[in-house]
Amino acid sequence: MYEAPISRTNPGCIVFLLDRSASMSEPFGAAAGLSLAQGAVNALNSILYDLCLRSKKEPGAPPRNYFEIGVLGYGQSAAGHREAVEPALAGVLAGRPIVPIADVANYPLDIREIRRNPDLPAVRKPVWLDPLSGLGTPMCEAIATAGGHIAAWIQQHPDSYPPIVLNITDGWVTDSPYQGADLAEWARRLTSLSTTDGPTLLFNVFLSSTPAPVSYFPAMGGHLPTPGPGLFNISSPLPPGMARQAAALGIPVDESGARGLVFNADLGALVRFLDIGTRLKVSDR
Amino acid sequence: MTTDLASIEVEVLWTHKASCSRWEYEDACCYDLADDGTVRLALADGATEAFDARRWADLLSSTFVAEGVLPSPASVASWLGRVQHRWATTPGRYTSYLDQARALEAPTYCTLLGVLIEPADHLGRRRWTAVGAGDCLLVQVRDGHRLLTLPDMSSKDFGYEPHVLSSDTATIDAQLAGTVYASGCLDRGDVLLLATDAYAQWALASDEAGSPPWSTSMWLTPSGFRRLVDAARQAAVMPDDDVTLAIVRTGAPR
Repeated sequence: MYEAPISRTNPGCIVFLLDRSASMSEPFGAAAGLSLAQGAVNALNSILYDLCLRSKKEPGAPPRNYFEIGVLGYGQSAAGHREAVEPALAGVLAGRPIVPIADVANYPLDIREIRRNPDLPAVRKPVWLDPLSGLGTPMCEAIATAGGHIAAWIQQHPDSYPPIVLNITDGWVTDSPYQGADLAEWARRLTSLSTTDGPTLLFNVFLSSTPAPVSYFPAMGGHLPTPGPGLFNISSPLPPGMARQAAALGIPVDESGARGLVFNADLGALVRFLDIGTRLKVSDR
Repeated sequence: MTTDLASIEVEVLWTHKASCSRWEYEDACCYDLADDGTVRLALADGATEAFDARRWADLLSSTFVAEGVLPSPASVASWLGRVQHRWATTPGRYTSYLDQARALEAPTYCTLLGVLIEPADHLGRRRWTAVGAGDCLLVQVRDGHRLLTLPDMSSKDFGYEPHVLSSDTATIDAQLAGTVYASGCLDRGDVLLLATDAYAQWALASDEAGSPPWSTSMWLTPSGFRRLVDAARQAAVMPDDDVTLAIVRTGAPR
């Protein structure tokens, strides 16, 4: 399981679930002047850019379609003051739930001067998302919506690496039960969707607005403060390849029981979580 | 491609990944048969994961042959430094922001095998020297049997991360430290086979399983080569990779 190489014939599907609830307007721990929403969007823009680059093979040619990408926002709608679960890529890509990476690369929302380090010059980088925050946290509906898109995607790509769903949140689910099922049940339904290479993966990152020890890929969840145990229970086991990737980044991982959860993530932990969760072996073999 | 010169002949057979177009073939092979009978040949395998790897593989193989690089540590070190400099200073052909960013983000890389075959002596024997970086394979075949292999490896030694030569000037010492060298003598009728990793792994596995493929490989035609590769891919004993086989035949009429 979890060994299918990524190719154009069998691309990978990566769906990001982005919490846009009111609490995402809280400051992002020690990251001065940054809200959780802004930090999450910065990290997502960065990983989308990285996926575009990883798909570039030849100069002058579009990126190869190694990845199909979904970004679903849940909470504040981009269309006005109402709660929604909706595709979050904007501009030309607006409304599309899953988008080939070549289209992602071709249609950024904007290209902006970005200065990550005050000692370094600003660089021009594409962005696909702007921060939004407001209202509740309809995480059940987000997982249910992702599951619908993923079920259709798997029908078209039955032999691909299993879809990966990366849920970025800071809060407590506010819509459980949704359509008669609680969060754990929606997660179970999502992770029951399988390709021939294994079940869909659901990874969660819980963002912290206050400095707290980061827990990377725990093998047990009982010791975590709320909502840690619940998120632990719905997080998929970390496949061995990703566990090795984490170890290579200096993160100790219990390969036999680690779950795809990072709890109390600061900005650096969020970036590492997204990198490990999307670092798939690309090969047109 | 077939060239005859007195008693030596070079033939290069290739095919692209079944899942890609022929324009996406990323191996490169270049050879020269000099008037005095010297043969220079270089085979490179552009990394699937790298950006613009075909151009790097082309540059390495073509300059190795054109510059008459000797397969010795000093000569290879000097040549690789020149090629890296040329790569870095070639006027930019990257116009889009993604091309520019990708080129800056990481160096490109490939595996390489380079061979120099000297003119025949009065007995028709030829000395050869070779350098290898990664899992392109050279096999000297005599009477249908494998006499020598460079690098010295088995079918289980192939993987996703072979040693490579890259455009990264900062790691040139480590790149050079991973190169391997060998030399030998070709008797009349001996054959050198040079193959990129997919064919190399299949051939070694066949040999290890008691079905040496060397005699078959020596006399493959382009159509026979493609049939062999297609059958091996269908049987899942050869990965769907670019496949290149260079055959150097000496002294024996076909």
